[in-house]
Amino acid sequence: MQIVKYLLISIFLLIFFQTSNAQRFPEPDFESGYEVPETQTIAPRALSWEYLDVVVLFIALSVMSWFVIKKRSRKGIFWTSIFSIIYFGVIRLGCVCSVGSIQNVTLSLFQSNYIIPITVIAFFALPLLFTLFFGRTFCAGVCFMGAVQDLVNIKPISIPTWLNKPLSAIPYIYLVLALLLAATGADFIICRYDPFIGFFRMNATFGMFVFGAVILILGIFIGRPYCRFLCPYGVLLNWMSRLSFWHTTITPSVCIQCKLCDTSCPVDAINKPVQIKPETIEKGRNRLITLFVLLPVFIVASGFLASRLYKPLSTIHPTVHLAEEIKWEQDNSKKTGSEDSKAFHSTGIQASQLFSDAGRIQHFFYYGTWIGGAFLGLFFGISLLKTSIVRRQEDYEPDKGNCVSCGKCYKYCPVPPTP
Amino acid sequence: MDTSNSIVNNTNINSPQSIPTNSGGVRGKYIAKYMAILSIVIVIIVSMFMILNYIQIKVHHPIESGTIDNLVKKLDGSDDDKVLREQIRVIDLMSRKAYFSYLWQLKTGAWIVIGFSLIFIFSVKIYTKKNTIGTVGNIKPDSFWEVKSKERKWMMISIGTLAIVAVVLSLSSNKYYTDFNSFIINENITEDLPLKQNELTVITSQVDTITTDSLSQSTDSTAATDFPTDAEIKRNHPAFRGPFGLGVNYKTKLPTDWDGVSGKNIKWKKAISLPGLNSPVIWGNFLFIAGANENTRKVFCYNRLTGALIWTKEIKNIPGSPAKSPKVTNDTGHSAASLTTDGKRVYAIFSNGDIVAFDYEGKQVWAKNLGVPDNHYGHSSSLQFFKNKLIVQYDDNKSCKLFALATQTGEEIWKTIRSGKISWASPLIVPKGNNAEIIVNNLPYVAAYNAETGKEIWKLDCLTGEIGSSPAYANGMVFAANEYAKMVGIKDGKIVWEGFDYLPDVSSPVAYLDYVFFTTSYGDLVCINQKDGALIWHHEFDNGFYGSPVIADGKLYCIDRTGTTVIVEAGKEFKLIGQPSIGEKSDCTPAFADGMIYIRGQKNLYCIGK
Repeated sequence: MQIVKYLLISIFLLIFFQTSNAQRFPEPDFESGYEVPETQTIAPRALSWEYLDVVVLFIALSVMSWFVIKKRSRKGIFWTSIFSIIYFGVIRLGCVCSVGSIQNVTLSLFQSNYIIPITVIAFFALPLLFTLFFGRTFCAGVCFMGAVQDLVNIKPISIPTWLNKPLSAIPYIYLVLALLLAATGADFIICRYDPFIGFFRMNATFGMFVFGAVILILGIFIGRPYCRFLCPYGVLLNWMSRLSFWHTTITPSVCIQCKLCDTSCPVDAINKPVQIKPETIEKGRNRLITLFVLLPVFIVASGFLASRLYKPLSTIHPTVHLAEEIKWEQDNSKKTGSEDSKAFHSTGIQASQLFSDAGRIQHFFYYGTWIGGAFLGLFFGISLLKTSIVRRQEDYEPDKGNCVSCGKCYKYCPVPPTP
Repeated sequence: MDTSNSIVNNTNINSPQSIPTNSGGVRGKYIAKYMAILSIVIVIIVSMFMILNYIQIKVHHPIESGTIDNLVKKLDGSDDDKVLREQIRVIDLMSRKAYFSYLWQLKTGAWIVIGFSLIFIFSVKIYTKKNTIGTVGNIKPDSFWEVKSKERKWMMISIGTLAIVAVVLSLSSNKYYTDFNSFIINENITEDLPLKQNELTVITSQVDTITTDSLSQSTDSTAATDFPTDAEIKRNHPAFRGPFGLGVNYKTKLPTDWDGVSGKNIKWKKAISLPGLNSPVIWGNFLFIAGANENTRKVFCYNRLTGALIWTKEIKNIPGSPAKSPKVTNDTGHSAASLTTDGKRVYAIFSNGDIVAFDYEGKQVWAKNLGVPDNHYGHSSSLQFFKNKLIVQYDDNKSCKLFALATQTGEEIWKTIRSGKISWASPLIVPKGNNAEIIVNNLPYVAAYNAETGKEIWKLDCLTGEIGSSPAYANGMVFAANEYAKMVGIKDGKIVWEGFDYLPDVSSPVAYLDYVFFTTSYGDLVCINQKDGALIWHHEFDNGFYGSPVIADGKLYCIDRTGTTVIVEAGKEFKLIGQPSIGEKSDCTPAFADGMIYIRGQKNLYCIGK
């Protein structure tokens, strides 16, 4: 039966791919003098509909938080997530989404000529605000990407903690890269490499189809691989959730340490009771001091290393990419013949102006990579520090940062709610 | 703990495995099972149809069938064939229907598969729902530090791997990318640097021990006046592209066959100690070139007959000269502008704005700094002279200027601030009786100025892009062009024709007889008609041209970037005479004397002659 299921998913994805490539029929060769009408541009979506999106998001977050915190209803969470898939995925085709909104906010901070719509700010801020109060109820299922992964998670397996930790660094790297590219106006890579949006829009490229398919197939066994090991917005939500006032709990009352929930979490976000032998504490303390001293070294070294990559990274920016192309043409006395090159030459803009612009962007990248690298160094340093910090715990509790409030652990707790 | 126990007691838990849960019920499971089977059968059938449909459309795509194309070709020969015309229409309609039906089937099928796949997933979930909640995990005794140690180890491995990747990427990729920081144009600087007027600096030079007696004979003719006659200018090669910068030389008995590697017809070859892209200039038996790097600027004087270095002068201690040279690109360098010589003195200009005059004994007559040019490639406009005026086209990102400096003293005679933007082209002198017009290219203008007064005579907005190509002149017409713009023929300050097919970029066109010849960086050699710009002939060579084509002895000499000189007849038919090579790269333009050709290679100066 399992084989059939996986085969089915593969076929299902294959068909999506087949339908994904928009094809065009060539324009007829009219001889009758008929003039083909000009291509009409679809009018932008009315602002009222955008406000509706914000209202729907707010309601979905409220309902989800109510199901998570108050009702502790997995069914409620499930059906809310189905609604989110339908509304934010199928109807709204995944845009605007909170994950990608980080880039809009960043761009608006660094590019004065970019006016960020208020609805995008709402999509960015509302989930963070709700997370600050109720934990990651947005991830529970209001985020259509999380909801899709939750749906395919048929046979969850646990990832060892030692592997989970290094993998959790990826979202930080992705976040740094996404912010850097958004700040420079180079690209919105979170949107470009969104693994699911191509499915909803049925226009995924082959590469993105494979990426999405891999995420979904992984998602059958590994709970929410994108949310845990890629999602850059998850980094912010993780921070907010750690500070949350009311976070969901495994038990509705008091943990009896029955261990039934031990393997219940599909995202390995349950902190287990820890008992530390006194003699090991001293050793841990010494290591902690060493790592603390090394923290600035991590920050500077990481910043320096990242800054060495500013040139290749900057070529992601279309201006720098074009400048490289034109410079190559100049150096080799050849034409690349690319559309970009032709378009540039047709503008009459001087190559010197292009190179100058590219230089300014590279300058930005240089400092951006320094700051981003230093941030990553800080993250790595703190992550290492945390491995030497004793965290006393007596009960089974959700890890407030990593728990996505999916509610799958509720049913594993035999303890009835406190009357 | 007491509370926990009480809860345990209250819930009557004996062992975790025995906790009863709410099952889906036998009936529900039964329905789920058959729903799952039914849905997967539908999914598989629809999928099969879709795959077959896809394969069919790939094999027999309506767009690529070729049937319509064949019929249309057939129709071309019989336009009145109404039956055939109708047949094409019918087939066209059918193929469109087939195509859009296929799209519809694909889309509908996809939705069916999605829908039934979801039903299948839910059914399987219901069917496989367990009767007991959770199983107790394999809980080990406390292993906090063990786990943390593993975490730390893998974190360190990850950090190390990332660091190695970063180092490898940095070392392996950075060399392939350009550092554009050096190209940044400082737009905040708008104020022109003040020119230091009347700066006559005569420095007692440490002239190399030379004998100039044997060479002075050729300069005697200019002793009566302080500037040479037109006839004397034509007898020499006093500037970039020869007399007046027109690209037409009057030397004869020039070689057409040589080989730098074997030494065939190479009279002498001298290594040049400093790089430079300026082309040799000749007066009498004196040959001058310049070379410079970031720190050193020199002018070299050779005996063109023997190749002996007569003197070398370093340009230093110039008032107003910056301590540090401006950044330039390698393909321009610090000494790209060619020198000019009037039989009395030789004049040189460098990337930092230093301009200097030496007499033929190597004594510095005057020197000054024109202000450091804000030029992202480096200054490259060659010098010209008219009578006793040294003509300097001095364009940079701040402004475009045209100077006339007194050849004897360096004093400014006139200065014209021109509108437009930076260029790297060189001025052209068109003698007009006792006066002359100076023709200048810059962005976006071609303009003519009175050589005596600097006043603008006419100006035409017709260029775009980065102007590296200098204008050409013949038969009362000016020819100007730039790549990605157009070529124009101008008469009496008006555009007579425009051409777009082939355009020069670095090298400059040359006008001769009824033709305009030009080369491109892509290896094109083109001949067009002066009167209407019509293409007469075109030939494509393997290598691009940076050096400008020049006419000498009725032939067209064009040096490509590899150092091979393409020699063709300067006429209405393409006739290749030879393709001799000096055996090293060259981006310079050759200079001529009777029976001799002088070519500056990347590292050596060659004298070619029999």
